Amino acid sequence: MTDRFAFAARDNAAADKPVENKPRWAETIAVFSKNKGAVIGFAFLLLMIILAIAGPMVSGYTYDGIELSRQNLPPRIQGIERLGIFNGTLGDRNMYEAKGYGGSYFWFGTDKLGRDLFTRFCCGVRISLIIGAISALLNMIIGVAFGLVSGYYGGKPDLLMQRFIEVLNGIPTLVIVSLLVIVLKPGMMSIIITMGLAQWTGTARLVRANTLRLKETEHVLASKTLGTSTVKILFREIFPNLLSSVIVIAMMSVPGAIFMEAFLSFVGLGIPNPEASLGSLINDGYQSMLLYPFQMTIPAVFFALLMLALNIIGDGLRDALDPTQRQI
Amino acid sequence: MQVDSGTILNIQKLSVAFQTTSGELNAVRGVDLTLRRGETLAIVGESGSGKSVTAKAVMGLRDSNQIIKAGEILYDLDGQVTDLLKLTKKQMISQVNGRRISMIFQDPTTALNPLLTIGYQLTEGLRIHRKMSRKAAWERGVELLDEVGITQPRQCMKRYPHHLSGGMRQRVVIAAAISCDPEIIICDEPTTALDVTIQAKILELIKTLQKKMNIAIIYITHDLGVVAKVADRVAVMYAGKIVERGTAYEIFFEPRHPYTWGLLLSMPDINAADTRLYSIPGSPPNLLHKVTGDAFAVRNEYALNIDYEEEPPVFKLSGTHEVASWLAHPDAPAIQIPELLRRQIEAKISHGDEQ
Amino acid sequence: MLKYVIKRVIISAVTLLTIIVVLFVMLQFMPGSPFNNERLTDVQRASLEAKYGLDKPLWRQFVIYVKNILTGDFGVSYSIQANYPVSSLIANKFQISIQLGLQAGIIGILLGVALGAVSALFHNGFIDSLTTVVSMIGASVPSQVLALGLVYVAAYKLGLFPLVYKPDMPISSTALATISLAIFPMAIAARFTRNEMLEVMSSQYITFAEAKGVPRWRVICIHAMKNTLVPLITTLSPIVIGLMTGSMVIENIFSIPGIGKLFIMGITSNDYNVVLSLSFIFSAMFIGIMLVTDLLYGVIDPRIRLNGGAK
Repeated sequence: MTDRFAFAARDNAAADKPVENKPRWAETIAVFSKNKGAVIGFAFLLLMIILAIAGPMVSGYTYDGIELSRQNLPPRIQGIERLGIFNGTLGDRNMYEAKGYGGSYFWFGTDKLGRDLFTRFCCGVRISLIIGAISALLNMIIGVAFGLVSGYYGGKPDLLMQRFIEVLNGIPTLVIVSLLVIVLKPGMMSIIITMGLAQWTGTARLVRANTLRLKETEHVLASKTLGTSTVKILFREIFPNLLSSVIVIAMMSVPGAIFMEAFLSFVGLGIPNPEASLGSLINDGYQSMLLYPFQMTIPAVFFALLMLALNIIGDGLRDALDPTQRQI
Repeated sequence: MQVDSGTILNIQKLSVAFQTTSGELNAVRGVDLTLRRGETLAIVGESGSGKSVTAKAVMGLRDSNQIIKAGEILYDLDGQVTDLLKLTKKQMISQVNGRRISMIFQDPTTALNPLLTIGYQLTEGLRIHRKMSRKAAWERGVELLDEVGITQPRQCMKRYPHHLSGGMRQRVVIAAAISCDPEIIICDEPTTALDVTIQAKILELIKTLQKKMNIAIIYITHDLGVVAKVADRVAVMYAGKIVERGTAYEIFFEPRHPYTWGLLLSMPDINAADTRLYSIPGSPPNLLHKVTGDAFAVRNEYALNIDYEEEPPVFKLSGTHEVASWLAHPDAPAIQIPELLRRQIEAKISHGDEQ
Repeated sequence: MLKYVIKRVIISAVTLLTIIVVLFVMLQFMPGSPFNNERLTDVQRASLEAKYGLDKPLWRQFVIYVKNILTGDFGVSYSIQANYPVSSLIANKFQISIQLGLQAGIIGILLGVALGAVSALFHNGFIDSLTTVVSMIGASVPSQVLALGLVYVAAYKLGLFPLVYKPDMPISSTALATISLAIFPMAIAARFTRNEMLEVMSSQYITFAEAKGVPRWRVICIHAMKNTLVPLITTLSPIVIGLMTGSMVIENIFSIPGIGKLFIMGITSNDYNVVLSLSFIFSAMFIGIMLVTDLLYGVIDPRIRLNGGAK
């Protein structure tokens, strides 16, 4: 038996061990993937992206193929039709056989012009996602540039830029957006530009506030003392520290842009036919909601789910990247 | 242990845990403490040693995920010895908090509600516990502010916290704490957030008030400098346990636990010849894991084999001095206080820098 | 405080002026003005030109435009009701929209605050989960989908409410509209109140109040509520915008003859003067509400009131 009252060997002593330092992205992924809701939301978003890319290829139809003989067919899906749902019946009639399309399957049905709604849905998701993504990117670029300049230079320019933002914030988004789209003529590009222009003030404020704080930090002061150029300081020292909060706020603006697009569709300023967005599909379906509820219900449900998924992902990303933003 | 006439608070084998997502965190693991009327007890330790949790348990200020695993806190409530842990939160608030036991917080900038006036927050306790009228409480509030050394107390009553400097806010917090003549005040790092020059004044103020009103004070601090200035008795906490306790003299001049040595050595000392400051190697253990043996063993350069196997019992060194370390066991090799610390202590004694 | 008031008023005025400039510029580009109308007699045209000062330089025209717009003269409608003054067109549609917006806003905010407060106080309980889900859905599902769902189920299938607005039954025929419109403010208010309240309840001054022996109801009603509700004012801006946007959609779905429906009609029938006038009215309302809340915020929160400063 060893002497219990002898000094213990010091090899197992705790010297100051360096704390295991996971790379930032690994830690972010770890926190994010612990959040079940966010993971499910992310999976759903992935599914939608896959649908948006591959859907039109597998459906066998085109989004603008008009065929009046097959108008307003209800959804019919192979396999599931045996369960008594999605079997192509409206009331008790099998509309497919009645219209002579016994061998065809339109998963989401057809619209009043006989276009395949599944293909249109996939294209709609594609356009809605593109609008969301690009306008978020635009929002980020304008917001970061504006915020960085305003926060870093301070003084008079900052004051002017802040007043400018305050004035812009005083105008309701809905007014800016509708008027801009009227001027630019409805279409994907004009909607994207409008969204980018309407949303960036929040990002700019966040970036400015953070820049004000960061420019007083030691590492920035050190760079300044060493004579690093302003551009380098902005992009090497300040921007990397802003990135996570900017990503979060940009991610949070994606659902807002898609939402606004749906609103514009409703107002009559959305994506013009024959192209489709989720918003315009809902709006088309709304016209014949009482007769063919599926035409609206399907895109509406997916739209709501997509918004939910994007919001949850945004929240999850915020918790993982930048918990201080909780209030936003 | 009995609650004798001098003891007003008796904490017995208190164990507190927190339910966290990664398991149960045992923040306090069997703490015994007694507090006598009018004395000052300091609880010293690193952050996370469980000192704040212990103090908050006395006030019934529990987080939602906190569980009291064991123990009792005995307090003489109107002639009847009561276990405070058995009282409901409602009973605590109506009978104990503010009225008999008050608390002073670490950060006066956040302890006051920014949207309520100083006067409101100061007189709230008087109006609730003493059932004073608004007017009478206000007048008393003015007196209290005067007592804690605020000039122009009348104007101050109408102000909002952000008008006041940190030191003034802490004075307001102190005034609120003493407003209902409590028997005990718990000071949770009362000076940490303040400027050094103001620290001394606040400590002095608390000391004066304590003498005048015969209040017992528990100081929670990591600052041995504060302890030296105010404490009658000291308890050193490490990883949820008290590792050494004694009178201030015993802790500062005859420390026995290696952790206490480390703490004393890491205190800046004007007289020290060595300009480098000692720091205890390693960091406190993760209390989510079960601790076997002595929690301090891995950081202890005098660790014995037994420290890794069995938890050290409490060894009584004198009537007041206790240490929980195997080094105090008769079979343990005799070791001396580290040379550096011994020299420091000697220097202090010879400088008459006594406490 | 005075400095703060002046600053806010000036910024609001500048914002309003900016909008007028934008509208004026857009008016120059908008096609289909009645001035191009072939059927106008020369006399009519001359009187119109005189009224709008079209023969004068641009800046004079602008001054006249500003004067007109600020006195409530928005010109005439092009196509919805040709040559009918827009202001009259708006006037009789204004009340119902305001009523709907107020109903929905007040109900939504009150419900939201209550839900949020309860879920924060019983954190991680059933109501908390419910609120989280409801507010997530409320903020995610567009009002048209919600409204259409309600119409389909409650009005069409169950027949509980009229399908469209009937002026003789103002309550039951706006009930569904109010509900669908109230969901968004409720979601925002609930979410904000919950998060803010959780933060407030875990702050040191609440602990301090408890340590002073303040009873729980008093801690919640006096200490926590005030600190939660003051910043709630900041959510008013998205709520007002949400109500305006929502009102257009919902008035259209329920055929409520309000200004939201008029706005959409203006867009679909290219009646730009109506669109621009309503844009001005929406902006002016928004700016007015923001100004009032900013000033109110200053009165309630001593930190702003006395520092005269920005947030």
